[in-house]
Amino acid sequence: MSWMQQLSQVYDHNQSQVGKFEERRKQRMTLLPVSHVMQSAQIEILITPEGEFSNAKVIEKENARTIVPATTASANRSNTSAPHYMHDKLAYVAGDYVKHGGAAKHEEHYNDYSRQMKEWAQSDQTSWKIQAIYSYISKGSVIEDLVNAKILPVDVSNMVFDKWPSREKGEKPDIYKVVTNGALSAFVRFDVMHESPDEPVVWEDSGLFDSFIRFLEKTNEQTKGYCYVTGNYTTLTTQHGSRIRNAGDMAKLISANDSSGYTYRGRFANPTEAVQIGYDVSQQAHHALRWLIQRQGTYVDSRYFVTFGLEQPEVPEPFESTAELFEEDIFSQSLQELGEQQVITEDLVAEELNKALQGMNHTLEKENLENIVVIALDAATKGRLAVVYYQHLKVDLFYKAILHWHTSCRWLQIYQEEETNKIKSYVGTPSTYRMAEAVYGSKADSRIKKELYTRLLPCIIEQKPIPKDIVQIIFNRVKNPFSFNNSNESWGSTLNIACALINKQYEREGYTVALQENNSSRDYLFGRLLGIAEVMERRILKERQDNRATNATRYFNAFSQHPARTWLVIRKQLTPYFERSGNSTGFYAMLLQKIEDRITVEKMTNEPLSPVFLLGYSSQIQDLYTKKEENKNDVIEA
Amino acid sequence: MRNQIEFVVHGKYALFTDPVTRIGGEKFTYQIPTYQALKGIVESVYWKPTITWYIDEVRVMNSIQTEVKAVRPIKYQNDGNDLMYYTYLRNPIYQVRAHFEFNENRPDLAYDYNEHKHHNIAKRSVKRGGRRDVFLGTRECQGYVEACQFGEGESFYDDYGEVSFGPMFHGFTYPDEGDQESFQTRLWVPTMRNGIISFIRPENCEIVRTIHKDKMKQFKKGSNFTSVEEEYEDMFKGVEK
Repeated sequence: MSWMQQLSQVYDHNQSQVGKFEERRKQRMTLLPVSHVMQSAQIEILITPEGEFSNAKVIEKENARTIVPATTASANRSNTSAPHYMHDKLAYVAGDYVKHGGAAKHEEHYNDYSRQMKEWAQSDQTSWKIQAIYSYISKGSVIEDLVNAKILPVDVSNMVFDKWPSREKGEKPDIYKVVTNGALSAFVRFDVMHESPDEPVVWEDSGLFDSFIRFLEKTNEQTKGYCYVTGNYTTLTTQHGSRIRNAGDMAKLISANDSSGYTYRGRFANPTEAVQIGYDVSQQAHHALRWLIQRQGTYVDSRYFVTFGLEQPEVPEPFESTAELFEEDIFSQSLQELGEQQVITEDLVAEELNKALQGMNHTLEKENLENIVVIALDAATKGRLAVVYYQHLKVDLFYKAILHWHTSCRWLQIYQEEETNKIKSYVGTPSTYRMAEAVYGSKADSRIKKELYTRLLPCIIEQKPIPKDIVQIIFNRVKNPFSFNNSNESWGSTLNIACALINKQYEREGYTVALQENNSSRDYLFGRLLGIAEVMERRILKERQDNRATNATRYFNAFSQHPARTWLVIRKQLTPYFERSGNSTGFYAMLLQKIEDRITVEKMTNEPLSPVFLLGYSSQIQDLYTKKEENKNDVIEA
Repeated sequence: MRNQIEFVVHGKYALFTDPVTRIGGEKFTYQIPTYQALKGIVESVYWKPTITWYIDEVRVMNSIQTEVKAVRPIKYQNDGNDLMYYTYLRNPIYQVRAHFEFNENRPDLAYDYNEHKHHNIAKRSVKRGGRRDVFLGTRECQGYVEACQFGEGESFYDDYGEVSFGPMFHGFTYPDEGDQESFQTRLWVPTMRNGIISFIRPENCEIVRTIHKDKMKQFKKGSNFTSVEEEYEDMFKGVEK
């Protein structure tokens, strides 16, 4: 099914959400009714049921969102006069706009607006509220009333100050704090005095939404025809929604462009010959997409990603880290305690994750909800938006894929708990955000990072192998620990992310964070050697309170390029430590000896090491740091 | 079926543009080939005005995957470039089954209604990969035709069950294959069963939209085409018989 149809299905399934506001990410949002747009209002005028001015106020930014009845022309207006219904800018709603300093060309705006309102007020789809608003605005005294109510300040000749003059004394009136383009461009919304306290405000009244939709259906004699999206014979539209990604976004998903690009010319004389799209499906699809993006979308640069269920929009976000997927801290309590007893939290986390996902999956399936869509949008130019990724999956496949991602692309992750500042660790998948930072560096261009998101999407939700070049890039970065000096990034956490990605790349070989004693792959063993050298020297340096870099760190890059030769160098430089420290280093010497023995002569070459060496290195270090107690016993034996 | 041919067509990419995105230029592909795209491929293999090709079935061999590319197409009206995102299907392979019927709208070519001849030419053309170059949806997606047995080999969708794609473009009805006076678009709702989509015949499409008036192209012997005998004479003029 096409993306438009899917989105309009989301709209149908969530019809109950239309016009209902919810708060997410500190923003109030709603699924818009058909034929309505969302606008930010700056002035609110309350009128009496008889159509008299009661009072007015300036609206603070948090409450500015207003659902406005609109025509396709007004929703897509640019410079020409195309009024919304009911609420609009001063230039439209105020009959005395020009008299108080507005540009003369706006005279028509008010006439068009009041003509439209009159039609609605006199139609059989009207309500007493609309009639009250109409009778008020037809007086043509909006600005005068606002001036009297001390909302808009005027000068001696009764002209509104568009900008607050700096020479003026006194505090800057509120209106100038909320408008961006001058007081005369303020957006006005109307409310009629409520008869009872639980009555909704005019711009959130679902009864009025419906009456407007019916009114528009009857009056707007638009062309009818077959819709290419639904296949129905229905009212068509040629104007499609903009502002999909955010309020300032004018890019459209559907637009006709043949005057500057070779898009449909040939068989067709005009865009409607090439395709016809129904008004309802277009409105619903765009409103649904806008709502989903606001609600649960992520973005990098100009690219927006959103994952949703068709029936129930909430689904796990593919880009989240394992910890985020659990919301807050499932790790803090039971898991963490268990984890402290045994380092190997890998299976535990996977198990818990599986349970959690199955729980979510279960609630979804129970109600026969079974489809999930992943969609990404981006605009190459300002005007046109393109679907750059689209995938439609069955819900069980989706959950399986998410679980697989979190159990195959994982390594030890260390994070600081916000409340206690404690360092905590778990084995899981880092978020895609952190991966992008780790692969390209925190200062990299966001245009590069968005490509990484797009390329990882198939790996996450289609279980595709990870692109090798991504692993190679992060491997090359990690190989140079010194390039991390004087930057905010930590080499250690980048190493962990690199390990997660490497682990994913070598998925079939089943590497684990827990040290694999029996793994005799060359890269792994060399990694372990370097790990031991690092831990040993670091320990001794710490005892001496010496803060310099270890030889293992200094030769990291050289070691990965020419392991055999470099190991000789490192080994030689460790000799003084062995000699001076006596018994305490015996354990390390024994360990090194054991591993060196396992690297046979054929393997002891200078062939560069593959990324797997990082896994051996990381596992070895982790092992040595956490098994302190055991080590002491070993020391005695050695 | 009588006069049927079977072949496999594959390419690196395919772009069966969804008309919704076509008009803006940011082309986004349909998930499966349209009837019209396949008909175009068959017509590239072999075509004569005497015959009309009908696509019977298509079998989707590889999993449906998309890939987005940022492209810089040349603008039509001036020398500048544009920036766009096109979404292609990656690694498409389709097995196609098609047959031809004589075009009843061309009684003037009735003398050429020789089934055996056309069927054999068509089969030979398939073996040689077609007469003209083949493309999958859009011109930049070069495709390759090879003879095959329809249904042989494994498809990703063999035991996949049913997938519905919602209303889609089926094809155009040009005047010479329709009512001789109008250019029409057809829509239909395809269903894929275990990877196979059986197409309905153009005249059975329920949703047909007349786009504009148009007329049939005329073929007049001697003015815009020559008979094979004349062509032969012309070619071998100087050769001793």
